[in-house]
Amino acid sequence: MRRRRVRWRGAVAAALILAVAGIWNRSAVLVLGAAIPLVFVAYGALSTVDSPDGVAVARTVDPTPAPPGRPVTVTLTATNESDRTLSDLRVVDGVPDALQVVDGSPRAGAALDPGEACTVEYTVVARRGEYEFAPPRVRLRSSGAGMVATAEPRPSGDERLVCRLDADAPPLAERGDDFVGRLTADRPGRGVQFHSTREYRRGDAADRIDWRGYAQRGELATVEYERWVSTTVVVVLDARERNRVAAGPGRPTAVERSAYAAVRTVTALMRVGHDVGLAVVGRNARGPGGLDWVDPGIGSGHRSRLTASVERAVEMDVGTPVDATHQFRKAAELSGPRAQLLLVSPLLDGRPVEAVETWGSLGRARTVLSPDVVSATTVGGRLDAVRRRARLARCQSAGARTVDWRRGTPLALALEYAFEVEARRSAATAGGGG
Amino acid sequence: MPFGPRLDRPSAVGDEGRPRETSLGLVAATVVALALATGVAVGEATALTGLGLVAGLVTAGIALLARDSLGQKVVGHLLFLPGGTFLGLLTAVTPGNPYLVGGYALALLGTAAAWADVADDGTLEAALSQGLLSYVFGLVWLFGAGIVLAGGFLGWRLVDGVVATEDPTVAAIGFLLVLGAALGAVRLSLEGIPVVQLTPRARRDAVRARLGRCERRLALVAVAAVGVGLVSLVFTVTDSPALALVPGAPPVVEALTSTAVVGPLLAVGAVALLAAGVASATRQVTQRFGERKTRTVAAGAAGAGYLVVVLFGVVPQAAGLLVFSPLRFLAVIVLAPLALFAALGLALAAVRIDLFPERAGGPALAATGLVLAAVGADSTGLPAPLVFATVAGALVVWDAGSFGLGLTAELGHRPDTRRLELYHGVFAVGIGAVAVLGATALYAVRTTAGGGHTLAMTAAVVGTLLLGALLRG
Repeated sequence: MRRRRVRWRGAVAAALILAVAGIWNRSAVLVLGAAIPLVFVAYGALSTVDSPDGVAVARTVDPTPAPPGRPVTVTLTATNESDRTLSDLRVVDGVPDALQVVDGSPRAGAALDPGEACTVEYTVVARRGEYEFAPPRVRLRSSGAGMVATAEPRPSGDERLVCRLDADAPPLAERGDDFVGRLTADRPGRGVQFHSTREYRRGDAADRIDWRGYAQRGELATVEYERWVSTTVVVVLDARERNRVAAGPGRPTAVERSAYAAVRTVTALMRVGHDVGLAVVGRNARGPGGLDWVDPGIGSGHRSRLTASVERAVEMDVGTPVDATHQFRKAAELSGPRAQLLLVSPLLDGRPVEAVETWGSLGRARTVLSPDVVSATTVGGRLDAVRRRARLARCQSAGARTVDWRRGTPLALALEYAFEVEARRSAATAGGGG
Repeated sequence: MPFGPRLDRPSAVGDEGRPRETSLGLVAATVVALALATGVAVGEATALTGLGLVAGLVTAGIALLARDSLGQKVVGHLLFLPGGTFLGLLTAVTPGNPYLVGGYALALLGTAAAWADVADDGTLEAALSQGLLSYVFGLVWLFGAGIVLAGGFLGWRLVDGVVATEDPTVAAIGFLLVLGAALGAVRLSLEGIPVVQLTPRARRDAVRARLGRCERRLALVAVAAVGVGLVSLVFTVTDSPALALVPGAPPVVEALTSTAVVGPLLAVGAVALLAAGVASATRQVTQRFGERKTRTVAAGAAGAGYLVVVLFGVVPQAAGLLVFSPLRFLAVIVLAPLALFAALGLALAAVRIDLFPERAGGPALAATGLVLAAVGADSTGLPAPLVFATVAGALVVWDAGSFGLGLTAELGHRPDTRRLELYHGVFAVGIGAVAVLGATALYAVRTTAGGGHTLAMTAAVVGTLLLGALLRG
């Protein structure tokens, strides 16, 4: 579509003013000067622009599928495939309304020689669902900017961003080296957490020798770590109404991020051989105690059931209010005395902390994985962040292991940091013991 | 940022390049180059560019008046009204053709407005309404200061009379009035000083009760002193010797009305009032304001600032110039801002009736100024190429400026568009240069041919251009 823009009305007015002033002053200079604005008017009228058909557009969305909260880079490249220079090309990508651009700009302007390309790169935060990008708007202007041609070409490459809870969860058949789900027992063996030292035996690995003890006492000893064992873990997903909040428009809610963390954790735990169950707190389901409950189990089919249950927790419409305290208690009862409880909650209120303390009084092993959705850019947000950290500290003081999953940090990295901290503590203990 | 707030909001600034920066750089370079060239041609190189500093301050003031915080608004007031008045006066008193000087003042103002992006409906309206409010406050402060000065002068005369008088009756009456005034000031100041709030919480009730008793007694004594003093005025209009007859009274009265007693009494009253004023002002400044109250307080503070500027900045200068006539000076001080408001009102009306485009008001103002300057330059008899260059400069300023601002409107602040803007700017300057050269050549032909063909030549040029435009559609 091409249309002409009125840009030079002021120039015509200037020409008239100068002409009248020239006649009034009997000045040849002003009368002649009145022609100058008209040169610009003619320039604007004579310069034209072709249709933007010669502009090829390609888009890449990376990564897709992506988990909720993951920054996704969108790259749009516009190439001048015509044989003429494009003096004024403006490109605006059709970002879906539900997504928020957090870095860069989906807009660009450039002058392109034949064969030259300009690139628009920006970052959006993935939210659960499928988001179709609208075709980018490409606009060309003539060199005098008096004519505008607009088109919305269909780009090659990616057209949508897919965001799934199990986006980067590896298949169960693969046995990787994730630290997630490694649970320790009070028996020596392979692991990361210090257990004890014993007399060196021929063939022990050099990195397990207590070199500090050797330097002090002159005797070789080997460090033993707490042995990894298989156990039953019940993931408790805090999907209550008050957690359906986001750090900003276009960002995933706390429930979406918690759900992703739950799916990722379930997968990782299963990969290392644990039985995993699920309890969703915050919805009225037909399960025992009104919980959406999946018994502990293992295998691909079981993981599919767990994932479906988590999906339901994200999608649910909140109906009647639920007694969360009762549901947290019920989850502990249903999981059995030997199961470990893994709470996934943004900790936006004190109810989950009370649950962790209650579980502690029942003698359960607990871990809290908390996605951070609090925005620290406002005074209220900072206050909320302080409160959340205080709740995490309360969980720790109640004997739970805590993992603080900050925004912008991949979950796997957050878990890796958490386990690295555990390993360092263990090494420090080993050093002290030596 | 080096210091202070950036003037060109919205504030996605300073990260990845700024659309319109290149375009507006070209606009500024064009205006300043033409102003310098014209200055050189009239024999005073910086006569016109000197207006730029004041124009920039006025624009900064307008931009800051659109902000929300109190401090920024106060600074905006102090820049806008004094700066605008000064720019108007400077334009009026700068020697030279009024079209030439006024045109360049407008061009510089428009350039600054384009940079700060303030030539829109909302910003101009905010500047006009808040400027008027601060002007009214300035007048209130002016008259209030006059009243305070008059009161102070009368009080001084009273005290002076009390201390110097020989008549013990008059001295006693004066002392009673001074005592009443001092105690009344202390009583009033107790309302403002946060005595209770500064007391430990446990003792507040006791202090509050004691303070209440103290206030009542102070009020009673002050009223009694003033009342007795006023009633005793009767003795001054009769021939009664009054106190002179009371044994031992004259030495007591003389002691009470000595400087050693009256001075500290007055000092106590003044310090009490000052403390109450500071406490009230601190309370006002530190509390949270709504938008309307922020505007009012900022205008009030700026009104006081105007008074300071006038008393300590303008009056000594005017007196130094030996042109100080109090009435004329007062008239200029009071009336000159009204001319500024009239000009701003006209600009606002021009934007509202779409005479000036809202999105490109700055470049439009700058271009208009250059067209006026071209008319002035011709009237002054400056060389024809300079007049042509000024006209072409007006078109370049409009073209590049409106292009840059449109670019920001369409693409936002973040994309880097320097190359695109340069491409467009080079074309605009090139077209302008060709037009100037063509006009100069035609003018030279006309001059060498003996004159008389100007209209015909211009008609031929205009006809050719129009025909070309029509043929192209």
